Amino acid sequence: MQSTKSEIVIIGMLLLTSICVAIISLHFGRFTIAINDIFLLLKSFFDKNTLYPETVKTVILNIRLPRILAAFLVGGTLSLTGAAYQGMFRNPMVSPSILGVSAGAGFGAALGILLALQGFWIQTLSFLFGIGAVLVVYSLSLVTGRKYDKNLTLILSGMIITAVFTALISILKIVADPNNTLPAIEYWLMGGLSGVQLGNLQYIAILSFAGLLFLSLSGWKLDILSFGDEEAKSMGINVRRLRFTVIIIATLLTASAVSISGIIGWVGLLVPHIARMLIGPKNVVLLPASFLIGAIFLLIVDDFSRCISSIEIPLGITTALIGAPFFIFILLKTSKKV
Amino acid sequence: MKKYILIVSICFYTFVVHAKQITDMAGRTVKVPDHIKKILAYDSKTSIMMFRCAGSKLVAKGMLPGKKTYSLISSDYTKIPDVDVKNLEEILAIAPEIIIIGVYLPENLDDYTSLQSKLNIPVVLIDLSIEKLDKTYTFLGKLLENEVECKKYSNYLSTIYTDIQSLMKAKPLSGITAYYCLGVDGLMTDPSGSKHTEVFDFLKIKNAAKVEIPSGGHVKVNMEQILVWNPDYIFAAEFKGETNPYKTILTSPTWAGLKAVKNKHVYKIPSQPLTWFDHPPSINRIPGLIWLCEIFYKQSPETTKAKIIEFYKLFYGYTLTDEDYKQLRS
Repeated sequence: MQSTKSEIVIIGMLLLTSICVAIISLHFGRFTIAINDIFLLLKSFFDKNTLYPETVKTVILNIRLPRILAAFLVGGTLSLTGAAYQGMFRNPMVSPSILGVSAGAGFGAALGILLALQGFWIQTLSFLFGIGAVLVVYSLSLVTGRKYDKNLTLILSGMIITAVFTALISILKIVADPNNTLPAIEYWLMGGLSGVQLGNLQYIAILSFAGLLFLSLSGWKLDILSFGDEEAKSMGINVRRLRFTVIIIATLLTASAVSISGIIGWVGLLVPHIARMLIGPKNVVLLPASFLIGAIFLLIVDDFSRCISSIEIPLGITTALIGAPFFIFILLKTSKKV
Repeated sequence: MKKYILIVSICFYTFVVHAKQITDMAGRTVKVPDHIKKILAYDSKTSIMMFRCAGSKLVAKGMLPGKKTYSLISSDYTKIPDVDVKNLEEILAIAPEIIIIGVYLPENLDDYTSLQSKLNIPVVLIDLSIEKLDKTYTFLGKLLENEVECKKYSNYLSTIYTDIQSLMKAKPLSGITAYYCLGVDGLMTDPSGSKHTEVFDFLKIKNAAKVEIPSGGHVKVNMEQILVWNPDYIFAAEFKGETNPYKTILTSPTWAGLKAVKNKHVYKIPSQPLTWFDHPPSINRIPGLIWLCEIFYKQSPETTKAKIIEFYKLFYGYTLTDEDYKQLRS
């Protein structure tokens, strides 16, 4: 009972930290805004007569707020699905893209950019191809995996389909106009949140909170699954259905995240480990903790991406460059404790 | 076997045909046939520059993937067969006597020298720097023995350059900045110093995008940075037909705070047959210069129109109708 209480405290602290980081991030950006102006803007919501510079409203509400919400949701979602997959596959090296969702989504987006579609349709194509790729992987594993270990065939099928979609992306890059289309595809594949609009975030917000709730509540089943398929079955869990549900939810979440942010590696692989070091392996608490740590991590990394230079640094670069030393630090710190 | 015979015959050809020594625009000494009859223009920036003055001597043009349809240009250009120059055997199969490549001098020339020795076909470099295009035509005239025709082009360009200089002297700009807008959402740009925004540099218009990391090509920036730069003028490039960030810029509340949007100084860059700014940075930048003179240096719209119509006629072999011109400028 004691441990449960401390776990709740940790989650509470993480929630508080993530909100604080989000609010502080509102202050960071290339456009210098006095804190005073931010308060004036806040005050104007209650007192219509408050005067504040118009650009402050544009920068805070139209540019920074959508980005911060997106970083929160995308970071959280990728880490949540990473943690769920690592639990389900009983493999710590698994990331949310293991079943081909990122490669599929990347192909969809590249296709959309090549066809010169509007932002919304690029996002939709990316989402649909992400889900499509995983469906192919899942059916492939059903067909091939009768005799072999289910997890192994799933991961292998994922690798096959990822390879196919990566090759297809390369084909699109070859035919893309190198003056305009090719750099746009490259930037998309490197990930970034600069094009995010508030209106695009409602679906991922609903999906990720619903997913968070559902996965966390089924966390105890994933705990039992960690003993092995047979053991889980003997304890009355329908392993096949559980696996299918987790894959469906994780895919929906990852595809919606990737479709707005582009491909961001690392987060889904790294953050669950940090969460596990902090709160232990119990999925009921590990999953929400992963979500919150992922959100905090991506918020900080995105702050760097948009502030460090007048050129926007793609998130794929900053997550790796900031994530790697951070991970080494955590590893060193925890190894000393033991 | 076929290719072997081909290579031998090309070598034989180069030795037997009478050759003269010339110095190309980069100062390299190159041996070329006395009377050149088969030319490969290495890429689109070179072929667009010389298809009119080379005529039927231009047997092929190197092409990058992407744009394939052109309008407002003589069909003579589109009829020239495309060749994938990355595949050297394809070049050999065409067996050009010389390869002409447009460069921006000064530039590292090692790649061209190694291309020449690999193919054993003389590579002649011409300068595509925006301020020297008249001299390039004089050079081409001599090389292709077509000096009368090329004189027309170089004369036209010299007049344009002189006119621009006197316009700039008459009314120097004071700190006006412009932002070159690329991509679906307009968040890609070419910063100052890039080949793609030389039209600004040439006309002494300050490029709003100043970045710490010097870059030759496109960079991605975020909206806040554009607000910091707060350009006076915005020029939006068409992104493959329908998608032009121009509409977004004018309607989105995010862009509304910029000086350029408030003063309605947002322009769509004409893009047929090639954009007036870059892509490729070649002769197609000249109408861009003429157009910007109207916007920034008070050149009369009538003069602009006359000059641009003459340009299309001379360099693209196409007579612009009033309707075409209106469409271009819309």
